[in-house]
Amino acid sequence: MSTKPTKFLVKYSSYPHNNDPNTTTTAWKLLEEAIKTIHLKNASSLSFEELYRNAYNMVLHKNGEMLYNNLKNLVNGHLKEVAKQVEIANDEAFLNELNTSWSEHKTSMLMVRDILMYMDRTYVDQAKLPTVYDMGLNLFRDNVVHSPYIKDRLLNTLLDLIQKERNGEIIDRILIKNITQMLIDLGVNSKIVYEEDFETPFLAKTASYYQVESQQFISSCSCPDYMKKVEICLKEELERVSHYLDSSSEPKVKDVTEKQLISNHMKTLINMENSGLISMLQEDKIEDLKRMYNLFGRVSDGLNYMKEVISNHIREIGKEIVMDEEKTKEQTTFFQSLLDLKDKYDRLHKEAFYNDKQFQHSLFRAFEYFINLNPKSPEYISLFIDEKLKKGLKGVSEEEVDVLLDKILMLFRFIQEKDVFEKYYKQHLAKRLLLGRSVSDDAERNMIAKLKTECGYQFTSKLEGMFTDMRLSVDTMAGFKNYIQTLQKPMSFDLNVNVLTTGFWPTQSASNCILPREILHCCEAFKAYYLSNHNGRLLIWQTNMGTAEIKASFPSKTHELQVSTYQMVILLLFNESPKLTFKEISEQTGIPPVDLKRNLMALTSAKNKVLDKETKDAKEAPNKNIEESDVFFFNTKFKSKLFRVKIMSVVQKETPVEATETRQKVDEDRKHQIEASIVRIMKARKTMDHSNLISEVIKQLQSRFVPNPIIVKKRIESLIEREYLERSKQDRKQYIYMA
Amino acid sequence: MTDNNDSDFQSDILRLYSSTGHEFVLSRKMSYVSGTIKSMLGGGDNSSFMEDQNSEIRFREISTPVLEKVIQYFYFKNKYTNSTTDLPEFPINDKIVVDLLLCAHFLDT
Repeated sequence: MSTKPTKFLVKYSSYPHNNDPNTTTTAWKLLEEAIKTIHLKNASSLSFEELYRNAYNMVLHKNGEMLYNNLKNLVNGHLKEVAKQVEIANDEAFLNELNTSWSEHKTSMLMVRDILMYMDRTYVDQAKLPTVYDMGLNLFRDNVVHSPYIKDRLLNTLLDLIQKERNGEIIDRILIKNITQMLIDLGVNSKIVYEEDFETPFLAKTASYYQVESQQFISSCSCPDYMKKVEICLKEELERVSHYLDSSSEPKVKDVTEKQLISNHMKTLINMENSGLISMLQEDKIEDLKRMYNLFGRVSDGLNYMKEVISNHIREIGKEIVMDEEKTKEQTTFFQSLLDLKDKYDRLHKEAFYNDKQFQHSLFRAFEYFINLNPKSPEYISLFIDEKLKKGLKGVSEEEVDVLLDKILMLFRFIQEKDVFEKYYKQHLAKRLLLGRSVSDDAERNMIAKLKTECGYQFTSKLEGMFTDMRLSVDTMAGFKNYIQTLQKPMSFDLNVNVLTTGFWPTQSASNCILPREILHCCEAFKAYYLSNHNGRLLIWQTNMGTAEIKASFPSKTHELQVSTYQMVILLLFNESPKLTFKEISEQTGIPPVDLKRNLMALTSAKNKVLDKETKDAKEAPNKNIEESDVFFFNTKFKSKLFRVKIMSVVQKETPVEATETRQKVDEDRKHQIEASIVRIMKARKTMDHSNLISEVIKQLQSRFVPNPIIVKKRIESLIEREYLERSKQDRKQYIYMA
Repeated sequence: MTDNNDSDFQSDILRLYSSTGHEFVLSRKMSYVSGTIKSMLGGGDNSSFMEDQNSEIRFREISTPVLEKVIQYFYFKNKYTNSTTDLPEFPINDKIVVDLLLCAHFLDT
């Protein structure tokens, strides 16, 4: 039975049809009195029904407009009185007075609205006027809040109070809360009044306040102290908002304060001497860094700027380490310092920067940048691993080894020229395997497995091949020993051969030497045995990589000497003659002079002086170096505490020549890889234009090294010459794959 | 309204008087179907008119049969609002239909 009153037009017949002005005036008089009574808070003496009925009839008899306007005038007049009341209130009571009149006004308007409900429903709705209550709000706003004597005073009072609170005084928060709420209500469905009358000037005030404050702070505090203060200020402001401001102000207040406190001082803070970002990094101030990260994360660009500074700082440090001649000489310390650096920043990143992805990225970039600054980095990494696998891992638990290898690998990841690393790693691994220097087979395999997951199967296939060779050699030797026994021809010594697959191992120019007869004989026997099992293979003896154990009878004692094959050959010569010149040795052994010098140096070194030498130029102080004019003889005075004497071979430092050789080899390898990659791509695509092809090649090879586009171009040209590719006739930039 | 305790029950009572002074007693909650009555009784928390304090309303322009029908409708409405059963017809006497309509308009029902 819900009706739609406005649409229903029935002649009003059952009630007296009194539309004459008198009745209307009487009705209004009644209502006027009633509203005045309401304003005096005496509503309980009024009958709602009576008032409602009168208002109802007035509206029903088309006097809605008059009722509305009269009401408006009435309320207007009342509010003018109210405004005067508020105006004369002294400063302290001012807000209270306003607040009281506001809540009274609200109450009375609600009551008026209720009695005039019918007008709201019909006349106001049709005439598209503000409802009675909203009209009341508007009138209050215009007459009271916007009265010239109140508006500014209100604002200033509010701002003063807030200022007081900022200075640590306690203020009546609930009062302010009511006032701000009033301003919001007065906006009628929007927050315009609140924003214009209060928020905007408040924000401006806040900004200027913190501008001054921050200037003061920053000139008197260190960076961490300043940040602590900022944290407190921000917290206070937010609390303020939640206590008595509208929640819509929160982001604005936050913006303003953050801008004043952080954005404007970002550079000063970061660059602050002795307490800025750099010194925090240097001194590992995790708490402060975390604070800085949190604060700077609030403002735009804050983190970017921070990131940039950190990254530059790391680059500086890294560059110093990498380029420092002193340090690079000692690979171990060089690497250890890199590892330490990495460790430190990883920790900072985790603890202070919440594992921020962008920070991580910039850290990686920084490391990548400086590691690749030094072209020798791949070699150093390999050397470092070599060092660790040779000695460093003794007495270290498996897990620790794992952690260490992981760390190394992390640095390895930054290296762009991974193929160079592979070259060196292969060389070092070969030495470790052949000379039996590796401490732990497990660690070796672990490392290779890690490399494999990092760079793929291709990268480690040869390294794994080396391990396979070693294993097969053990089997082969077992077989050979059995074979020898069946021959019934006992050998004067044990022979141990490692059969290495060419290609897996770093090929060294086979610098052969003339082996003593008995050994040669033995080798022949092995060759015969091996070839009988594996037909059609070619055995080449790599005498430069072998080791030997020989017995040497010195006048004092008989010692067992552990020497390299070359050294053995040299020493055996002294079985026949006690004194030999350099030239004689060279002729009789056939060892290349460079290697010969090195081995002789080892044999004549002060620590294990097996051989003695006579320099022609006797005036010179005893010199470690070997001259071609030197004469060598057996040192009869040799003494050692140990029965077994290990002759350390002089560490083979990579000579510049060798370095360039390695470089050349790497470049040669790269050529092949680039070509292979080009052909692979073209085979799949058939046709492709120049720039796309180059970028694709670079993408494919990135995991191993970063190819130079010019070199790629040269390779393309070479492939065209060899008729793998062809330039398109229509478009010179297009290449076509020739099947 | 059965499980209300006594004081609630007291304050819930509302008396309505027709133009001829006939008294109807009903629950306040029932009467809230009418928007007019609801605001009369302080649907908001602020107003406190005579009617609210005395818990009685005198309708000077509503006749007894119409008021009775209106109150019947209050209960009818309360019973069937949000009910899933089919709505039975609400019987209205033809004689009072226009007056009832006007009254409904007045009461904002």
